[in-house]
Amino acid sequence: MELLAPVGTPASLLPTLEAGADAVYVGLKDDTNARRFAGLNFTPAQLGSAADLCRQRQRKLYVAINTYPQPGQEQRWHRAVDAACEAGVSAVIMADPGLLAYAAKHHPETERHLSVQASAANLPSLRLYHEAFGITRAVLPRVLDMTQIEAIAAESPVELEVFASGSLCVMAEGRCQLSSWVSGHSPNSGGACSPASLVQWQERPDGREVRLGGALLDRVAPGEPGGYPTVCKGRYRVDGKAQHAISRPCSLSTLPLLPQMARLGIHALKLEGRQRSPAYSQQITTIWREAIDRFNQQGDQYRPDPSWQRRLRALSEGQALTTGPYLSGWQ
Amino acid sequence: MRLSLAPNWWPMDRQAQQSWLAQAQASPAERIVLGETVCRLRDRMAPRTLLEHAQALKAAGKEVVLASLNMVASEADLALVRGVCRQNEFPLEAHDMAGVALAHQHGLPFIAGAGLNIYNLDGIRWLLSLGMVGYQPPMEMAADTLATLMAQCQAAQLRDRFSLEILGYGRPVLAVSARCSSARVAGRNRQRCNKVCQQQGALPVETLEQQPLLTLNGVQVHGHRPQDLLGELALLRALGVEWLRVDPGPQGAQPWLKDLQRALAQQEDAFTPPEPGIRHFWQRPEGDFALHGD
Repeated sequence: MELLAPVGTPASLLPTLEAGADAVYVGLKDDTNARRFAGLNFTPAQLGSAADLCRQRQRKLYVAINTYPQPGQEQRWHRAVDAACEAGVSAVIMADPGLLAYAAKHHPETERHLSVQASAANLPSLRLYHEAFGITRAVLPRVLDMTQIEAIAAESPVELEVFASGSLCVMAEGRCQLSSWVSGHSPNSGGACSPASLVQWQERPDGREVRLGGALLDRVAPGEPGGYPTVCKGRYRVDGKAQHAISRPCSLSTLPLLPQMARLGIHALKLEGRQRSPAYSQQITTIWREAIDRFNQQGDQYRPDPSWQRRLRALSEGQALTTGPYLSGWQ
Repeated sequence: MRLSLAPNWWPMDRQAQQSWLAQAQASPAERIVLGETVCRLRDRMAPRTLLEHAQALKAAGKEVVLASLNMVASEADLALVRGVCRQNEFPLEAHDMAGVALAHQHGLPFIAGAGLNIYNLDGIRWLLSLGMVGYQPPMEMAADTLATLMAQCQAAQLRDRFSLEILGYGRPVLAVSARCSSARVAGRNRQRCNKVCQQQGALPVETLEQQPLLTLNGVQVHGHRPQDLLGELALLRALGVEWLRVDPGPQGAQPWLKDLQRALAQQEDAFTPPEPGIRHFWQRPEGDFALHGD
């Protein structure tokens, strides 16, 4: 199984490769990718150097161009695809049908991966994208349990990539306007969920108030772990009770599911977190490298090392880990 | 511009569904959208019953569209969408690419739902090649963006190949998950939900400061207030909107729909519903932060 790690900035690339990533994914410095944060991402020139480095080390480099081109501005997205393909990356990750068609027509030699932002959670969808645009891989949305993934994997026309670790999108990716509703900015067209410029933290006697676009998303008591404020992980009043109505702050860890993922024929395990620090990318990659190596050596005897979960928990949101939708009880 | 009525399929027991159907039939809406869109576990009509109701509405002079699930993940979900595609009388409203794929396979015309994320001309061109006859822009698309897109379609001579439908009034679908929040707040999960959503209804969500924010509807999350574009009928007409969609909520068709129908028939520029909503996505937010070149 390929270990696919997040790389937010050029400074993060080498440490992440040295930590054992088989492949890394990055974004360009504009709104063509769903992690448009200040100080993050690559210029086309930096992308060229990154592609060279990955080639030397025989690793793969993928570029996420996974927002939806706005009418009249398609050229900007087309130029992004051109830049990625000319830099010699291994694959471009896209969700928009028009952009997939553009890449297939103008850069047929560069592999096309279906982004999780397309939320393709079933075989007919995968077949459709495969037949129409020649995608070679799809990133499955975090809405499927292992049984459903098994059914898809058994007949999938393309390689499957799943999220293994990192922040947990609770909603079908690409079909979530929660950030847009509350802050006016969406991952689909604006390039970011909960943009940092609209997040406010305020210390008060009864705890820390966390706001997005002015709306109170949580009030975290002193000493209580919290996460980065997203609407889906806020604490609200429902039915007269304050509660995390959709999800508590937590991160995904599928370390216990590694053997099952392998058995289903999952091709790549993706670690989320391009927006996090270089140290984060390096640490999370190191942990997962150890896990995959141990699984490769031990096979069915594989048991996750308790220290891995401990280290992941320290990197997680709300210091809590979950296997999320992969086990249906979560749903 | 004609009126279309969609329930968004709020949680309803069978009795409430029957009463909704009767109201829909008596309403002035010319198009009725039928079919479960949120969760296959809810009480819903079997495909044959659905078809019978659709035929009855058609006989009563309505145009009927059959909707499919907003997110298709399991084999059981797929079977439900297949069931709706296995007829050739009514077009499918596809909210998931599975609907597009299956409709295309069966040669069934389809309407591209807002959840398909078709943001641009190339996307529209692709879906037209697969049998699209109607288009709903993504919920977050602003008026000026839609105007640009429709002008592009016109220039490409594609505009007369599909009808444009827009949510004129109703609490917008903001997100869909594998997790059922209605079950969660009742201390259950989706596997053992006991159809709790049908007992408790859609639940309002407020911030800890009592600011209304969202509405929980099973695996879907909606806005706390309706999107309301009824004050902009003139603009909608100028944009070429053919179908003005109204989701009156679980209580069914409302008496004011007759007044709205009259306003449409008389080409009025604006209409004010009894409970006015908001235009959250319709105008682009001010002060887009500039991150380019940093």
